[in-house]
Amino acid sequence: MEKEILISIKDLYKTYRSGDIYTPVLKGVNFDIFKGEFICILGESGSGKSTILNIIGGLVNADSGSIKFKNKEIINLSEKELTKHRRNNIGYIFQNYNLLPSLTAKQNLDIIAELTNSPADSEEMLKSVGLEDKIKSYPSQLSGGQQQRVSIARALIKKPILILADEPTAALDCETSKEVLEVFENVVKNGTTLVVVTHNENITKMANRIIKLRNGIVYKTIENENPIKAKELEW
Amino acid sequence: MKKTAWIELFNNIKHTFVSFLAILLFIACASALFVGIHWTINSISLCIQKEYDNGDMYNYKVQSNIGFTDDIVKELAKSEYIDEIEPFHETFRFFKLNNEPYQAKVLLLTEELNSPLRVDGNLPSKIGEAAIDSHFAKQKGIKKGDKLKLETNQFVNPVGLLTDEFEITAIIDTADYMGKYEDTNGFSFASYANVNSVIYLSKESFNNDVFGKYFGFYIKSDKLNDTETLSDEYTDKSSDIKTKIEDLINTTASKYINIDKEILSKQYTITERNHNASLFGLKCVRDTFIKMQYSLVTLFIIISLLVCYSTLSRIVHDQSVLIGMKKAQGFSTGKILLPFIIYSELAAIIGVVVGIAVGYFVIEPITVNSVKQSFMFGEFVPYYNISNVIFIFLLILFLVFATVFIACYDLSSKKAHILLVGEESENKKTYDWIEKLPIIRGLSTFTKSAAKSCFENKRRVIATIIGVIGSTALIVSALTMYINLDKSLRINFKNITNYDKTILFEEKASKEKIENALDNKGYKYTESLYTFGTTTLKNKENIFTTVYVVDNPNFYDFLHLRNIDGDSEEKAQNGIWVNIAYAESNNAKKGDTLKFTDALGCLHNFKIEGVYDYYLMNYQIVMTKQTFENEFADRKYEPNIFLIESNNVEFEDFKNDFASIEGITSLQDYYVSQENLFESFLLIARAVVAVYLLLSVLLAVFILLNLYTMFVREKKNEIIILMINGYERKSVEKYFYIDTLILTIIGIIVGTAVGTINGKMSLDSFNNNATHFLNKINIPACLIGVLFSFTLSFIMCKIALKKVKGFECSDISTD
Repeated sequence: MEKEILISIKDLYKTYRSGDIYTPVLKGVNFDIFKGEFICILGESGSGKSTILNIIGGLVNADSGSIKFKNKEIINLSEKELTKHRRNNIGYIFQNYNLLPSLTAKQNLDIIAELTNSPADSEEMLKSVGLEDKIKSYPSQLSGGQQQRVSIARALIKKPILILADEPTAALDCETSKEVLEVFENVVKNGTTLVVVTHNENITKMANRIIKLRNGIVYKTIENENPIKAKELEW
Repeated sequence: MKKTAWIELFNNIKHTFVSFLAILLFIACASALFVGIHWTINSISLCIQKEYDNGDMYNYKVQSNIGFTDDIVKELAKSEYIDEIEPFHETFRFFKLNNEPYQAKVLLLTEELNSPLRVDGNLPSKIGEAAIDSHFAKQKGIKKGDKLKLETNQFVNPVGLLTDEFEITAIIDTADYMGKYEDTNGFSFASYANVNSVIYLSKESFNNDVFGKYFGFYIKSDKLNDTETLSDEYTDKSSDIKTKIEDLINTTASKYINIDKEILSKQYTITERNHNASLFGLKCVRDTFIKMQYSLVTLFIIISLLVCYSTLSRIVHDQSVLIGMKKAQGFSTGKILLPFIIYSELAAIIGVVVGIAVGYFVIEPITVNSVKQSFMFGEFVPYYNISNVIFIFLLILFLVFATVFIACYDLSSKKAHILLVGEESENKKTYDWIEKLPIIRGLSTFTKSAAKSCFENKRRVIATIIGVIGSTALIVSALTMYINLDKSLRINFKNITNYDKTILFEEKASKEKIENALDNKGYKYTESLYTFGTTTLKNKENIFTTVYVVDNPNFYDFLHLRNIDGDSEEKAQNGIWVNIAYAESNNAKKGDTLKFTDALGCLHNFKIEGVYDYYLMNYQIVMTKQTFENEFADRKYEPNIFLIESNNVEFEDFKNDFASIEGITSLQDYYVSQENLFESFLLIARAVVAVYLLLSVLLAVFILLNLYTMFVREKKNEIIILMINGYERKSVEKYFYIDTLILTIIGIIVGTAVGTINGKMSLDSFNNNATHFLNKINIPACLIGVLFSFTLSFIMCKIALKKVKGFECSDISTD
C-alpha cells in the first residue's frame, strides 16, 4: 500500500542573525513525512533539528524552500494562518513540559480543549496516559514523568494530525522515559503522526524512520523495518 | 562596595534610567514641597515681624466714641504693662474720582506708634496735606500732587476737619493696613460700604476741639517684644496682658468719665496686634498652607515610595536568575541587597538635595511673592532651618530603605536552586476557592486561569491595586473638590440668595425715587437695615461681621434662611441667625451667646436662634427689627439697603439707571463680586486639579506600567505555550485584560471611596475662616474619576502588552 505524504519538505534554508553575526542553521533540507509515521530526527547540538521542528509547527518561518502540509504550502503564511495551522493540526510536547503552573492537570488540558469544536474528553485523555488519579493535581505536585504525560495528553486533547516532540525524555530518567515512550507508542497506534527530535539513539529504535542531520542538511535517512516496543528499550 | 558592584549599580541605573529618574523626581517634589511650604510659612511670619518692628506696630488698639482724655492716657501710661501709649483719631469721609464715589478711613498721623512704611514723598505736616495708602493709589493712578475733596454726609461723625480740600504729599504703607482686599480696611460707618482707601492727616488738619478727647489710642507693651507675633506664645501672653489692660482702662476711665465700670466695659474695644484685620486674612492663607503642606508632602512621599517599590520589584524580578547565581556562589543576602539599596538611596539622596534647593530657591520666594499679591509686607525675608533638612533626609532615607527591603527581601531570601530554575518551580498556593465562587464557576478555564493569576503574586497584585487606588483617588478627590467649590457659588444664588445687586443709600436719599427707578425697570427688590461690627464667641478673636436687620417678610424671598440648626426664621424674634461659615469657624450652635461690638465700639450680647445654610464669602448674621430695637435702644430701624434681583443685568446699565439719584452711597454687583472672590479659589483649585491629574498619570506610568510589564514578562512563557497551542495573540491579550479588569475594578472601588474622603478633606483645607463650601459626595466626580482611571489602567496594560507583540513562539523556554 502506498504511503500518504503528510508533509513534504523541499530545499529548506534558515539562517539566524544576532547583530552582525549570521548563523546558517538549515542549508537545504529535503524529506517527506508520511501519515501515521513515527519519525525521529537525530542530530548533534546545533545541527538544526529543533529548527526543522519549529518550522513544521509554524513557530518559525523558513528563509526559503517549501513545506507542504497536506499539499498546502505553509511557508510564508500569515501569523493568523500559522496560528490556525497549529490549532487545527499540531500538538506540541516540550523537554521541560511547559505546563501552566496555576492550573491543575485537567485544566491544563481544558484550556487547550476550549480552542477546538470537538476536543477529546480531558479526563479520558488523562486516564489514557495513566493519570486518572492526578486530575486535580497541580504541576508542582507531579513528578517529571507525570508532568510529561500531562503534556502529551494536552498535545492530544485537540485530536491533532501531527505531534511534534522536542527532546521529550531529555529531562527524565530511564524508567520514566520508558513510561512516556509507551504513551507515544499508543499515540502512533491510534494513527497520529509523531515527529520526535532527540539526540538519544535508543529512542530511534522505536521509530519507523530516522532522519540524521549534520551541519544543516539531511546526511542520512534510515528506514526501520522492525521498530521495537518501548518496554524492550535498553539504555 | 567592590568595583564590580559599582558596575552592576550603574548598569541597573542605565537600564532603568526612567524609573531611577522617577524615584528621584518624586522624592525631589516631596522634599521641595516640605521645606518650600514649611519655610514659606516661617518666612511670612518673619516678613510680618519685620514689618511690625519697622512700623512700630502697636500691641493693642483701643477704640471708642466715649472720648479718651489726656488724663486717662497719662494715667494709663504709668502701668507696668504699658510702655508706650499714643492717642489717635479716626473718621470717615468719601471722595469722588472720575465721578465714582470712594470711601476713605481718615486717620491722625501718629508720631511714635504705627509709623508709615515705605514713604514716597513728604509726610503731611500742614493743613490740607494728606498721605494715602499705596495700594489704592496704584490702583487708581493717584500721584503726589493730586487733589482730593473729602466730603462728609453722616450724623455719626464726631471728628471734624478744618478743610475738605487735600493735596496728596505722600504715598505710604502702614503695618496696620497691609491687606490689599478692601474689607480688611473695615467698613465706613458713614456709608455702610467698604473702606476703599486709608488716608493719613497731620494734626494741623483736625479741628482743635478734638484734641484732648481722642477716638482711641495705640499701646505698646515691652513684655511682648521678644515674642513673634504669629506664635502661640504671643497669643497667650497678649491675651493675659489684654485682660490686665482692660481692668486698668475700666478703673482709670471710669474715674475720669462719670460712668459705671460695667457700662464702660461695653463702650470700647481692644484689638490685639495679632487680631488685626489684614493679619486675619494672612493667617487664613497661612492655615491653608499648613493644611496643604502635610497632605501634599504625604501624597508625594507615598507616590515616590510606590514608584520605588514597583521599580525595585521589577528589577529584582528581572534579575532573579542572577540573584540565584550569586547565592549559589556564596553571596550573603546583605551583599545581594546592597546594589538595590544603594540604587534607591542614591536616587533618594539626589532627590532630597534637588528638592531642598528647589524648595529654598524656587518655592519659598515664589510662594511668598504670590502671597504678596494680596498683602503688602515689604522685602522677602528668606528662611531656612537645618533641622528640617536633617529631618527630611532621615525620613526619606529610612522610608526608601524600608521600601527596598520589602520589595527585594522576598526574592533574595529564596533558595538559590529555586531562583536558578525560575519561580515556577516553587510550590505555589493553589487558590482553588476562587474557582468555587459562583461568579467564576461557570467561566471558561481560560478566564478562570486569568482570575487565579490575580492571586499568584500577592505583592504585584497589592501594588497594582494601590496604583489604581492612588490614580482613581487623585482624580476623584480633585474633581470632588473642584466641582463642590464651583457649585458653592451657583447653589447659593440658586437656593439661598435671590438677589444679585445691592444699593446702599444714606438717610437723606429719596427712598421713593430709588423704588420708582427699581419699579420702572421691573426689578424685584426688598429693603433692610444693613450694618456691621465685630463679633466674639467663646473668647475667640474679633471677627468682622455684616448684619441684616429685617422688618419685612418679603426679605425672606431674597435670603432664604435654609434651616440647619434652629427653628424657622419667623420664630426667631428675639435672637439672631448666623451663617454656617460663622457657626463652623466658631463652633457655634443654637443657644450660644454672641458678643457683638458695633461700629461705635459698643458691646451687645445676642442669643443665637438659628444657623442657616450659606456658601458665600463673609460672616453674616440676620436679626429682626424687634431684636435690633430691643438691643440698640438709641437707634431706630431705618432701612439703608435694597437687595435687588435684576437677573444679572449688566452692571454699567444698572448704574446708569440710578446715576441721577442723590444719596446713593454704593451700588454693588453682588453676584460678580462673589464670583471674583470665588475665582481666586477656583484658580488654586484648577492648579490642584492639574497637579492631581498629572500625578495620576505619572502614577499610572511609573507604577502601573512597571507592574503590568513585570506581569507580562512573568507570564511570557505561559503566553507562548498558549500561542503555540493555537491561541491567537489577541486571545492571550485577553488574559491580561481580565487580570487588569479585576485589579482595576477593586482599585477603582476603593480609590473612589478614598478619593471622595480625601476630596472632602482637601476641601476643608480650602475652607477659609469666612467661607463654608459645599462639601458633598459628587457623583459626576466619581464617574469621571472611574472612567479616567479605568482608561488609564487599560492604556498602561495595552502599552505593556506591546511586549507580547515581540514575543515569538520560538522564544519558548527549553531549559
